[in-house]
Amino acid sequence: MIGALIHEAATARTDDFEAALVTQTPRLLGIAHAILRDAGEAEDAVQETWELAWRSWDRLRDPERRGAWLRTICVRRCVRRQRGLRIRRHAEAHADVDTAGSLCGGYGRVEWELALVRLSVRQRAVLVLHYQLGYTLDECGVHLGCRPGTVRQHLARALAKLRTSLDG
Amino acid sequence: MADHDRLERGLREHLDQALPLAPGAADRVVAAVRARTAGRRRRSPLPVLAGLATGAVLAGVLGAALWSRATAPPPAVPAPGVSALLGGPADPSAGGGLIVDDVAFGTALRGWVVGTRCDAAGACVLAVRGTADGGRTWSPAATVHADAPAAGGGARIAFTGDRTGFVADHGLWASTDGGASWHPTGLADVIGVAPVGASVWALESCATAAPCPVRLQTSADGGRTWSAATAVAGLAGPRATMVRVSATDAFVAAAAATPSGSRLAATHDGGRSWESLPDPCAPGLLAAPAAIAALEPTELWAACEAPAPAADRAVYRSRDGGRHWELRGDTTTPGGGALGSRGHLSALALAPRGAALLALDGGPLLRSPDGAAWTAVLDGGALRLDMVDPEHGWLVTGAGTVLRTADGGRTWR
Repeated sequence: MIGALIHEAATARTDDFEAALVTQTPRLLGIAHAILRDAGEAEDAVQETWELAWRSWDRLRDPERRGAWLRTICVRRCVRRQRGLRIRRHAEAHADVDTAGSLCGGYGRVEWELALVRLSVRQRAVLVLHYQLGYTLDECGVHLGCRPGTVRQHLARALAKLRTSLDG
Repeated sequence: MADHDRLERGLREHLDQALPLAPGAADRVVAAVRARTAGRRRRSPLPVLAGLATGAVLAGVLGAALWSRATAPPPAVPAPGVSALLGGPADPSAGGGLIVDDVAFGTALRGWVVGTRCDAAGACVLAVRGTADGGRTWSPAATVHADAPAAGGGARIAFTGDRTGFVADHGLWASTDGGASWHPTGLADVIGVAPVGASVWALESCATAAPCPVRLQTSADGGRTWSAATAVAGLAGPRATMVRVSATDAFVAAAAATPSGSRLAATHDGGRSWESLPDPCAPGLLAAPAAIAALEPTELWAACEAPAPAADRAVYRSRDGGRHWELRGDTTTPGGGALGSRGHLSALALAPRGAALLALDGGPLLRSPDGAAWTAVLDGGALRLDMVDPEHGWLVTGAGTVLRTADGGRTWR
């Protein structure tokens, strides 16, 4: 009887995880890629995200919050990958960019990409969370594990650096 | 203000134009995670990919062991998570959530493990736990650094004596209080460390996929001060393995080499000069050495493996310090003693009287009295081996747990 219950619980856990794995992976890859600007690093970061999620899957009581929880893990993994990140040469930074796109704010896509790769991963994470995913600075702080004031600092420095790179 | 608005608007527009994901990226991640959660711990793909690109797959181990034929069915290796439930006196991961990368024992009773511990929010630390009673009890986890990748797998630990230890994980950290606290030494890009008494050698290479020189830094005062880095016989990384058999003698196998160079080198004068050794692996069939092991300056063993998807592998032995090689066993050995086709080479260990042990990640643990005929003694995969005497030894499984033998490898727990 107990064995059957354990088996049932384990099966439910596996099914639950599998469903989330299939549905959430593309979104997590998009976030990781946006922050890291490197497809291979993004795949590694998302794999690490799932590895961590698997270990703690049963700790989260509210399934509705799993998406946000996974995004938080993913963002933090991306930031933590900075140490071993293979920094691409600036000349290669535009390799993934479709140069046929229109100007953004008066600058070309390659110019944007070159400016973005000059930022730190944490600065890019703030930009992606705030400007692409629409999180408030307080929410960015939750995802990054830092205070809103720190997020504001990162944001201000990132924008200043972007401006210098784009206009320089 | 207008400029600021224009910058923000342009940034939003650029970020909204999503970067194209690599073809099949989601499928690859899903498949890798499924494999990982189905029972095996995922290892960092970098060493394998880099190895294949250069014709070499590289891993290694320091170890010495006497292995005898298993007389009982081998126990199954616990799957991730299950080990924590089982706990047990010899499981340093129990309760602490430590996924072990490497193990180092000075005696049958005194030893340490290094591994990764992550919280639910994704923050991971590299930590060390020690035991003074052969693994019955373990010290609380001591943090080495708080920037560990969740995938783990790269950290190495080595101790000289009871108090002085080192952890290599890109950088190099040291402890002078038996592993209770750790401090950075200032060395970067360290991929291996080998102390012999007060003499400490650290092997450096780059963390990128592109080949780069393998360098050696030495310390004569237990790691307090270090010499300038010197190149190791034209060897190139990103991965390399060092086996140190005395204060002056060592072998290094690397993932790559200069165009005219070998991937194996030896020193017999404390690292002042290096001699290039011939690659033992069969040309055109097998890649460069995937693992090496040695107990003395003259006897060196090497295991070679073909790049995936081929499953060819072979073990070679040299009696003259690596200058000449003889094939001992391979995947075609008749009589059921072949090296098998499952898994990938991860470690090679030798016993003083000639018995050898070959660990395969994702395959069986193999044992041979002479290197010619191999017998599977444990299933489930092993990544690291450390034997301290003919009876006592430790291995790190692919799941990041630790198993111990007290009877020369007959049984594990």
